[in-house]
Amino acid sequence: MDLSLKGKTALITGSGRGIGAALALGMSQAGANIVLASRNQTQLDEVRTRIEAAGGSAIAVATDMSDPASVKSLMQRALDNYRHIDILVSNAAASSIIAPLIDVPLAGWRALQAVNVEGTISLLQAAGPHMLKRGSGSVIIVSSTLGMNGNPNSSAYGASKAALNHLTRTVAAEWGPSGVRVNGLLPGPTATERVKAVTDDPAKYRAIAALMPLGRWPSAEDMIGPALFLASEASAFITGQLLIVDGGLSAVCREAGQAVMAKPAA
Amino acid sequence: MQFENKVALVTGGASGIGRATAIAFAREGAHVLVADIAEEGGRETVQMIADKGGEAEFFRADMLKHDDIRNMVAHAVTRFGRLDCAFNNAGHRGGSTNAVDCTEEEWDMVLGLNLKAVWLCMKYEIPELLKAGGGAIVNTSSGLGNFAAPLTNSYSTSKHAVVGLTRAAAVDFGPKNIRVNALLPGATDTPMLAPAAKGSNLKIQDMAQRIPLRRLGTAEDQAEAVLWLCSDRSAFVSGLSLISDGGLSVLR
Repeated sequence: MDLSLKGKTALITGSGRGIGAALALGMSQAGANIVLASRNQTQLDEVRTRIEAAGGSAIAVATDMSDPASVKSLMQRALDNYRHIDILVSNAAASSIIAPLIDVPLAGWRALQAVNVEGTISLLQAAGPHMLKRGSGSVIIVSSTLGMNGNPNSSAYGASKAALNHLTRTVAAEWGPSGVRVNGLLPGPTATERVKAVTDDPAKYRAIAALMPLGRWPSAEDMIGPALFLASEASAFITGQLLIVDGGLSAVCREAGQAVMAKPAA
Repeated sequence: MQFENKVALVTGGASGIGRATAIAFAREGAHVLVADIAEEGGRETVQMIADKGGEAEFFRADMLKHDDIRNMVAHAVTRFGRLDCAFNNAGHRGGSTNAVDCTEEEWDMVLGLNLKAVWLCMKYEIPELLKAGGGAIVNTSSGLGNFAAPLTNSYSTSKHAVVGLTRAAAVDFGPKNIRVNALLPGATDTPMLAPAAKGSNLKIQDMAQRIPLRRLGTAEDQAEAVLWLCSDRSAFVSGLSLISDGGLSVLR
């Protein structure tokens, strides 16, 4: 099982923190050169420093995913510096709207889709010609199990991730004949900085951990192995797939189980 | 080496994906029990592993016999001391029949091998994995575990059921540190493929041209996916149906 990325270059958006930063560090450890991108140059520089301290190579490019020109210039910087992109990770995402659909402001909905969906489209359009011409490579679109399931208050974020899931499958069909694989990485609840208020509260931590058959919250680092699998030759025949990393959460519907399988009262 | 000092059991290890996976496990340092009803092929797999300096043993088991399955798991533990990973892969493609043509004999044989045997394997493997403090199981389903194709009545049914069996075990034993996942291979260049292509009146090369990646899978492709699912690099992956089909199923 060879998960090595030696000699490859990986471009990872949303890599200033959370899952994106973990994937950047993990892919660097696996041997890849890293192109870091997010809006926050300070965070990117911190990740770049950590990569360099561990002996890796990275550049940090402040980028606004909702601006196609900014994404285009990110791609140019990457190619100027490393000449090729072998691995493209679309991970930047806004999750600003947590509200019942009735209360979702249309302007906020549009701003969220502009980052999550249109940002990914801009990235694919900017990198596609290069990757297709090169005739190899792996694209990883980081989505979410919220793009598959109907959890309350997640309409804007969930719909954006559902759009990405569809995009993954469509682009896989379009790019497969050129040798470029496209897969989704779908984390379930993950203990990142963004949800620290939940994971720091022992009762809330336990309540959600108990829903996952593996019984714990994954860390951002738990996403590294799956990402290396999708990025490397170990998954050479896998494209168009939505790789769910949720500790078994989506294999179970506990409410249904309790309703159907409950033992009758004595 | 990812699997040094680990013990892996591979059923259907005499050919195809099972053989490639047994070889890959051994290359990564695992001690492998290669089980199959086909003695010659099984012993060949063991020899191929030994030639590369790996550690493996053959065990003849008929997956339609409950006792054989119980003895197989017991033998893995007797021989190698423990069990860490299991690849429940033995199967049969069935006849090219629909719901009307399929005979009761075909149904019982295909469901017996592809489904009941996978359950029985887990029934005996899981207690051993628990003794080892946890472990990983991969069950071979199929692209036809996710949709049907013409004349795959018994096969497609059995492979759909493997997905359910896998999820149920993942849910029940996840809290005890056992991960259970299903591999759903698409068209893979193995001895099982040729008769399958005949059944569908589709030449193998035509089949390859319909796949987005424009090639068939290899047994080695599938083996890599199994190893990843058994490794600590998929530590939070369980209950998953991993489709490895070159993208064919996205075209539906």
